[in-house]
Amino acid sequence: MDFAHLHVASAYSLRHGASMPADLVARAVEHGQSSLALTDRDGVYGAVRFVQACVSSGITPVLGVDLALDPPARQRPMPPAARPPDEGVHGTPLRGGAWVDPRHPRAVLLGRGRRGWRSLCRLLTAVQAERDDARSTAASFAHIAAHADGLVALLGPHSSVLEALAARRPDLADALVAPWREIFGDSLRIEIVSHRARSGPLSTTVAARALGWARERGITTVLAHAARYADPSQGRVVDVLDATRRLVALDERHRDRSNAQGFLAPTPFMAHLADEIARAAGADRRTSHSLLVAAVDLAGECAITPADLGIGEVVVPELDVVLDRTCTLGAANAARADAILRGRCTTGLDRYHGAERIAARHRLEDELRTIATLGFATYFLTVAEVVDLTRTRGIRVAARGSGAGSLVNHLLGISGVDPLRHGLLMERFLTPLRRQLPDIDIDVESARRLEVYDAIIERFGVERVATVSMMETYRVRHAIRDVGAALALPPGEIDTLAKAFPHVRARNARDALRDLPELRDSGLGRLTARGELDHFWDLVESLDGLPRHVAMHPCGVLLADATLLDRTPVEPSGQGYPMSAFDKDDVETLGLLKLDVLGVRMQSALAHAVAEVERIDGAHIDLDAVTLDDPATYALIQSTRTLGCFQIESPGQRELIGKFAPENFNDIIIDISLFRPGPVKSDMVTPFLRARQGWNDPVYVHDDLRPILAETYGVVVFHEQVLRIVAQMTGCSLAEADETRRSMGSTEGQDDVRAWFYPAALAHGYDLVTVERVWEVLRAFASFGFCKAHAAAFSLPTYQSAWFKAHHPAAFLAGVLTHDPGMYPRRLILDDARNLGIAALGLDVNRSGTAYTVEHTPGGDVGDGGQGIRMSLADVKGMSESEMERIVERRPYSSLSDFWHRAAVSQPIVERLVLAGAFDSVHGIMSGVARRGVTRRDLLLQAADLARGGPRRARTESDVEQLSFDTLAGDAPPRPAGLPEFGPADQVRAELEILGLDVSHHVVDFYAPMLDELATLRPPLVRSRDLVSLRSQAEILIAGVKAAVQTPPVRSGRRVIFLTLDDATGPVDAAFFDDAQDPYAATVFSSWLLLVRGELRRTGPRGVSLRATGAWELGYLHGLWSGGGLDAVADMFAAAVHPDASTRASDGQRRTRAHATGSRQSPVPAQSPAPAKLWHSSPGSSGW
Amino acid sequence: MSRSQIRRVAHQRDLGSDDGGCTILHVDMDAFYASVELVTRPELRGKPVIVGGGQRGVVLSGTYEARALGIHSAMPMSRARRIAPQAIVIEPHHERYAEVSAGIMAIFSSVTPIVEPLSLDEAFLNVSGALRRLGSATAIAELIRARVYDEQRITCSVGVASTKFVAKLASTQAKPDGLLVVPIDKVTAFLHPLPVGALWGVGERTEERLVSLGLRTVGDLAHTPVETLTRALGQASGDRLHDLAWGRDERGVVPDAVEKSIGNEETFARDIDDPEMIHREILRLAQKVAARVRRQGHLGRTVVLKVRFADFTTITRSRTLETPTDVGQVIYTTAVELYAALRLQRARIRLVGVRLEGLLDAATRVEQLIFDDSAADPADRRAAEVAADRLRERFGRDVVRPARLWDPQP
Repeated sequence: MDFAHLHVASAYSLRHGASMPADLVARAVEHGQSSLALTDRDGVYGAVRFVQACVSSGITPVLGVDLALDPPARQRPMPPAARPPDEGVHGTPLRGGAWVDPRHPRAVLLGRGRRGWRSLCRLLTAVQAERDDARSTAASFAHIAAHADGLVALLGPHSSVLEALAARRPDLADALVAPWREIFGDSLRIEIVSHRARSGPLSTTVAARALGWARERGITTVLAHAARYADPSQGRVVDVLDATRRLVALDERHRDRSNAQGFLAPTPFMAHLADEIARAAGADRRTSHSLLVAAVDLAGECAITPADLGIGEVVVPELDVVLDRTCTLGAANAARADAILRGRCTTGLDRYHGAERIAARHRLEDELRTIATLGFATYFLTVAEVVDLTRTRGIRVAARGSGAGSLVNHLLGISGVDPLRHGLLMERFLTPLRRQLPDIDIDVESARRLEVYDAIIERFGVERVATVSMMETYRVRHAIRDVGAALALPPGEIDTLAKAFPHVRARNARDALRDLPELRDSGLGRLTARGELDHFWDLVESLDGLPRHVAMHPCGVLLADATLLDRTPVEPSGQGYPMSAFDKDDVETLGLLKLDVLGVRMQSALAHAVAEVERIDGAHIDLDAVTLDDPATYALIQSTRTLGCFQIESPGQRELIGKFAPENFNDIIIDISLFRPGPVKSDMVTPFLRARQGWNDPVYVHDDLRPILAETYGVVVFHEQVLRIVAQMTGCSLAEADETRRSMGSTEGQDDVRAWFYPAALAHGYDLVTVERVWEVLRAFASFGFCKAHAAAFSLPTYQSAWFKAHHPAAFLAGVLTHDPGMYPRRLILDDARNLGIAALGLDVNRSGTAYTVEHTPGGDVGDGGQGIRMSLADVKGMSESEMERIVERRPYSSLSDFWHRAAVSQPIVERLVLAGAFDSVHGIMSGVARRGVTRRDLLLQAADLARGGPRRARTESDVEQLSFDTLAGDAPPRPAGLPEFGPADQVRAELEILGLDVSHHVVDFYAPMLDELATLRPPLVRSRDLVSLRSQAEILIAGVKAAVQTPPVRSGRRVIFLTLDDATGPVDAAFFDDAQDPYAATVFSSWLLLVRGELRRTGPRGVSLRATGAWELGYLHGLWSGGGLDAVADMFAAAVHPDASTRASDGQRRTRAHATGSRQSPVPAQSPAPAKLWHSSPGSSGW
Repeated sequence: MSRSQIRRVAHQRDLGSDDGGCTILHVDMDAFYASVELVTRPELRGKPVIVGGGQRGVVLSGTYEARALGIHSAMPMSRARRIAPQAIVIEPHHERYAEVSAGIMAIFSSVTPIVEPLSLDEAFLNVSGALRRLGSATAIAELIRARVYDEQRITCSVGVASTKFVAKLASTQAKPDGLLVVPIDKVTAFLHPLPVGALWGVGERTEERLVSLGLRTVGDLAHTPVETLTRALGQASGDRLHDLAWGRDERGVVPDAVEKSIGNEETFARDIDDPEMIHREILRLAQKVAARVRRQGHLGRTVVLKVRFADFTTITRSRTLETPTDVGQVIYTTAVELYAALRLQRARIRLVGVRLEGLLDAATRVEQLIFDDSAADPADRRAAEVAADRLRERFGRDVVRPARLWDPQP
């Protein structure tokens, strides 16, 4: 006997189902069931994965949707207890929000083959289009009627019809079923489900009643089980999901299940259930048998194949649409596209001359042949069209990824990197052996990314374009938040718990509590270790990896022909863009053209810099025309002063470029390729650097490989080199070599390749020893290599940013500050600017704009006639877009009062502007100069006076004249308020609080007296700028503001904490290894101003870092120092844990715990600083 | 600024002992609930102990050892458990606290009739009439401290000063188990080093405002022109804070202050959104309030509903009745209407409270003629409730209650 579950929700029914499609499929296979349906609620987000899982497990997939319906309320014959909680509630709740998920009646719709799938897509798109807010979507009957083609309707326990039967209203059931019969005719089924609930639609009694009723009316019945998880033990998980979906605390009232029955049951179980229902209905075993058979039959009717979803096809926009012409040539389209592509590329060949031109022509012919074979010409033309669209709008655009290896891309203007000059291969990007659309990713200015989307949609039409979605899944923080809310923990407590964790998987919550010292030693860790929170962590871990939210992918855009909406449902994203139900992998499986339009902040920063140079100096810079051989640029890179530069600003990268000292563009490409986890882990960097610096000779396994590997001194760094080695050794084509490279990703693949490679290389005339050695190199390299084309594409903005920093540092850093592209907080960038002799100009209502701007500064304390960077209004906490625009538009202002009346800015913002010094120049308040006169505090009082003065009277330019009563304007002396001066420390405190930046002084300056004294201590305190002169292994102290803390994965698999401090003379990096983490990790994570003790490591001509042996909160030390002087500090160091084996006399015995508390009156707030982002914290992107 | 922070700033015990003119005492038990618990469980002395509602609810009190770990009252229990996992948690015994409180208040009354209780465990005393009988204010304070400890085995701290607010600040400074006299001529010396947040009426917002003006201590405040303060804070606050900063406080100790309202509130064991449960709680509170009002022979005019949400934000809604009442059912109906008007759906509720305000003497009752005989007549209701009062008086608290409040497993 067989059975098919036709009503099954997976975890893609967000916050409803508890099992992933693959787990459901695996369970059905275990049960020996030959087919399985996936009917997620109100969406088909899991459809592609589900079909793939079914096909690879050898069972037949069926697809459908469990759709919420929106019938008139009077048609719902429900007893009061079962009524949805929001029924009869009107008006807006005072607090807490309105009910979510109001238990709509539902129907399951299954699709028959390709037609059915099309209808499902169209139906979902139509329903979602009318969604008015984030609340659940409900379909009207009109929607269903319009898209019923190829669909089968199942009315089950959650339908109005069954609700009527449960309420003993067969008359109403008849009325309710009539329109369904009319539309679906023979394709209507009554779904018989019993969860053996005590009463209601999920009871056997009602199931039996429905069975009898349907048989009398000649409607086919099928047995189903309305499953939402694979295993009965998952009941507790769906309870949490119910609570989370409804945004309420766990409570009987908010739970959907009455028992644990809704699981993917085995066939005998279902057969038994069928008997039970038939018996209760007074029917015989034939009836129960037919219930089972009907399910299997229906599954057969609705079987769907990958081809029905369009898997295996390649879909690109129609050529006419791409060309924006309307002549149709039918079948000749492909040839026409090839011809047009050829024409456009050939024009581009003009940039090559002589021998280069011949080579380029050959290469072009090769590439065009491949493209023609694959029939992808339209694809290339489409991408070129998008790039042109973007450029036309004046938006910076660059290609990224392996597409840079294609000459066609370069000639079409898609990629700015010349593949011939840098030895990039087309085959890494596209080969005739893979009929799959390649990835061409384009980078655009992040601030204008959506403009590009708009342009694409406008150009290709909304029926061909959709963004790609992205399924966000539960990780530990969200799991804690949702479980905490379901268990009704206090909101503040939930927040603290969630933020205590690094971004790890939810299932690793208890591991993290056990392994990370800062968590283990916390109260939470101790409660957990005692097992007191097991229930909580069980639930948190059970949510691991479940989808929780569909969001628009940050860059994926689908471009298809007019059949797009037959292939995917499209819903409006949060920002109102059409968004496919499928994510980037699904879309690739479906053969749809996906273009990644990445918003890159660096591109925006560069655009801002270009604009600033033009505004200030009138010079126009064509950044894309800058040659790649500028000595000043390489000098800057070699100096490692690369904060703010693309890709080369992290501590690890600065260390690497310090050793590497790149001299040309190819060096940058190599540098970027080396600085990734693979090469670092496999220690490819050391042999490379040793050979480069001439300490060792490069080693080549065989002379034939010398030309391939010379650029990297014998070390294999690039995929392109692998391709060439394989081709060289075996004589195969580069396309075949690329297939080989791809196969080497898995162990089985490696075995296959090996079996082919040995005989092929031997046959090609290489001896066994060479073959073996080359094979070892290839095998070792398999997982670490990098696509050179990709690195080359990346290197372009790297070079451009370094060029800009070398030539126009103020404009460049203004761009960086405005668009925040890098890993460091703005305050560190600002400090970098100061160190470069650029003045940090304070906020000023008459000068500050909506972005950071460059100003020429008069000669004086900052050097003669240099440049300065003016702070931006955008960084004022709480400032709205419209307020900012108003401020700029209505300048200049003659006084605070004038500003108050004309700029119409809210009082708290005005106060913040005053405190941050934005009115200093208007009122002649000299920063930092103590004199009796108007202070920022007097202005605060005036703001209060103004606020009390009733509504603002004048808001337009013409009314300004009347405002001469201004008390503080002009010569009118202010009333003495008797308030204390606004000192430098007050200023910095206000700047940090309001702007998140220390503008007027560096925070560390306030600790200078203590730091100067500490410099006489043993070990001494050393400032960043003096580090290079120290010998290796010296024990020293460093102090500063936390600029970044990273915990990247490292070779040993153990965590290392990398801390970057900024001490006003530059950044210093310190590494905390295992032994130092135990006592000090908590301090490193929780403090802002730190003092670190450690041993100096010299890593290259300019490379310096610290192996940390201790960390203390600076405010705490300041307390000690101001109380007991240098001795008190020295005593504390002497008593503190020193994680150095030689000095650790009694291992494991901790004398003093590093304590971050107890700070007294520090000069500036040392703890819990401003809410703005003041340091970077991440698990690390690359390297180390 | 929290109490502990205020304490940290100034440790002033060297103000001298001249208590001339200091007739106001503020007596405050040290960690009251926790201290009471330790009386019966002396083995817990010296350990961090928290009195609170088990896994849920809030901290009612903690020993000084618990406070050193960061525990303070009104903190959610889940948070307290996390920051002090080693602390011992004791569930509260409210009857016992009431008993001890009555004992303490009796001691106060034996000293002076002018006692103004602020809560179960603290009170202002005006001892000017007791000086001749019992000695100096300091001596009286020591006497009270000794008697409280002798009779109840718990400690208290006393502030002695010429004004209420200084006395209260002094007892805070004296904690735990201490006595601090603030001589009249040392009031400003005592006040001025304190942070502005120590002043009565300076909340978080005002403190922030003052600090942004550079005014961190009471002394800063005192030496700022009052005009500047009124510009920054408004006329009333500016004047008042300036007076306080110079130790001026006209309020006297008012014994048996006439109650202006009678109310009860309840924190749920966990945050809930079930209207059924909330209605039931409102009914229980309304009955309780009505019984208290009747017992005191009052009628009330205004029904006030208080709701506190999970995030600790609190709202109140009130409605003034046409006829003053002492009928539980009337209070209930009004409070439930106020509740319904909030239209709450998903809001998580921590606490509900019902209060009757605008109290007046029951002798002013005007019996209204009721023409609508279909509705339940408030007079009939009242008769039923009065009958229930009598039954409870005779047979105990649990003998009679509305059917909806009947719980088969009490």
